[in-house]
Amino acid sequence: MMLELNHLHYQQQFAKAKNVPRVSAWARNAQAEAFDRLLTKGLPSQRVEDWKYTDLTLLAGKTWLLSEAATEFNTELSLPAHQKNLVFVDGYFCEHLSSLKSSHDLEITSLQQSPHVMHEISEDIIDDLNQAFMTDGLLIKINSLIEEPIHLYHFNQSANVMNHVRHWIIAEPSSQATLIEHHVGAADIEYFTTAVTHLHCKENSNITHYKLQQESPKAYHLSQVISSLEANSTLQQFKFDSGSRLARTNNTARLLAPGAHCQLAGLYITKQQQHVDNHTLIHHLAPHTTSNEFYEGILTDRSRAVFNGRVIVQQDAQKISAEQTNKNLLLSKHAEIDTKPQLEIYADDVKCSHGATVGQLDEEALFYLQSRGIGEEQAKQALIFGFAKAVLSTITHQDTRLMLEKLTLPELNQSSYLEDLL
Amino acid sequence: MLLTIENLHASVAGKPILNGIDLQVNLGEVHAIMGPNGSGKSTLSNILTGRSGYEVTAGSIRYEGKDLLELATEERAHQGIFLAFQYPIEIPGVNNIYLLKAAYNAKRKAQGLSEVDAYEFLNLVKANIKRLDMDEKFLYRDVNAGFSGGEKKRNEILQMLVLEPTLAILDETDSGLDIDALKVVAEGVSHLRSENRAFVLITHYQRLLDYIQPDFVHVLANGKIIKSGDRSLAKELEKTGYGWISQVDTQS
Repeated sequence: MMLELNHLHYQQQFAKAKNVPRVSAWARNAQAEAFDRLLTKGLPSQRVEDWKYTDLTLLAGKTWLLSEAATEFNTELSLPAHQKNLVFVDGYFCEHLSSLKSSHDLEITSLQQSPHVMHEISEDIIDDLNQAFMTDGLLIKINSLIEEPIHLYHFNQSANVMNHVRHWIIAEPSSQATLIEHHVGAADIEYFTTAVTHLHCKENSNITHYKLQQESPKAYHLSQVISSLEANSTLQQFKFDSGSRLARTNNTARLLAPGAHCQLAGLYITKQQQHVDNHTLIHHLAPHTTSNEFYEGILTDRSRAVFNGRVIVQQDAQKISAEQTNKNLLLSKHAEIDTKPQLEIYADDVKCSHGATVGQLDEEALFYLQSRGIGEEQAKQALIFGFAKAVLSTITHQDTRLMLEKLTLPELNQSSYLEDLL
Repeated sequence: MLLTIENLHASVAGKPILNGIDLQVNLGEVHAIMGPNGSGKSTLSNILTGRSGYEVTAGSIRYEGKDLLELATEERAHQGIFLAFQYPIEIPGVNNIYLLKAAYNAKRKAQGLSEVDAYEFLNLVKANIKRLDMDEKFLYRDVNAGFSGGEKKRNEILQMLVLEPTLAILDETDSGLDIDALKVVAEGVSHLRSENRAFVLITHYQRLLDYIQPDFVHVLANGKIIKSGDRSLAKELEKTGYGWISQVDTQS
């Protein structure tokens, strides 16, 4: 049931990880316990139900070296000038590259200096890996209404290393902010990264979280997002996956009190040998909570994707509404999608719906466009992008929607004629 | 001669649908092809535009002197063939203005002309939008998605006006239209009607022909044109219906 890790190698790496400063004995202890669990359990094999479609054998067999803080920067690291950035390179926070500074409204501190938020012990192997080897991370406290999006920009430039970032985001009551968590890799290098993000949305807060995974095509990316929503808080999340050789995200939203609402949306675009796995869990723990979920996938070549959408409605959590949709476009007969809704409903006054589709391009629509003189290739690209637009249009913030459309286009095609579609 | 169809035989899934069609269309002419359901009207329009699933088993189609069947669907469009669909397709995520501009520029490119810019193109489209009494908002809506039946048909005519085809085939454009919409469609056709262009109107009813007067009317039955005449033939059909066809058919 497990893939054993090379103990000697990981112990050596753990010795290095312990040199990364931790502020408290408690944090040290949590780190050591996470490491013990990791060595005892190993990584899950495909015989573990939750990992049935995702094979970590290659990842487990490699001897990743714990990354070190960069002193030189790859020229591919290009930071959008107008954005407020918090920049990480190879898993370490680079304050001098970051344009966003801590303020009264938005407090930013190193997670290593904030032991009190590390009290969450998880059963998740991704979390264990991340806790044991955590390279760096931030505690971000949102105290009011923050207009400008907060960009957490993660750039990976070193080959054969592993890095483990961890963020803890607290939205204070009635606060509002947009976070863009972006993971990017230099071309053609192999590395392994884990990213764990905790989002705590307090009463009446309104948080939008974009998680954009554009790692190098040879990278391994395991991530976990855990969101907790208190009364009348709203979380809107958009997950974009176009990178990595193998990517897996365990995404959990817990609706803790009445009035909490979450919207999880996502788009994965896979090609060649890529494997992208999104496991989501929406947990309705209180009455009068609502959720909706919409993921779309576009798969080509021999790529593979997994969508597992689990929804749990707790006993006595009445007046719940939960909707889930997953749509997939398979553009190659060798591509494969494994999609599975998983509804566990223990209350009776509940409105839940789910649906999954897997299809090819609409031949009728293709003919229609061609009959108007549009060449086959352009027509196909227009239809594929049209498919992606269904989920992209759930993004209400116009600039961000445009940004994501611009990220999507080159993943589908290099041609410029698609720009008219924006 | 713009279009010459000779002895056209075609099948769908091995089943013969067209059984020897002969038709000649000159520039400047408007032809109406009428016939009961299942007579092969739509098959003919689909073959003219190159839809897959139709097998031509005998005969030929020449368009501007070229073998039409050798051309890909988009090449036929570049050379001036336009089909107004009986059931226009909904395309979520692709908006009308994109379709119009991409189609317009694809044709220009094929003709060796430079592409028009967005501003110039918008002016051209807006003039036609007005002619069809459509709201400009239609340009930014997804192609036919959520349109009513009448809106879809108007949208077909808008595309026709923008693309200015040499040979326009209107496949049952009148079906499902109220009188007002029918008039708008007819005005669109009248606007384009010229010496440099030809129309083939495929219709079940003669109602459309009250608004667009054809030069020739052909009756299609069992995959063959069994009778041709001027527009009085359409009037006659309205009176007699299609009941007499089986009789004619057995005689021939």
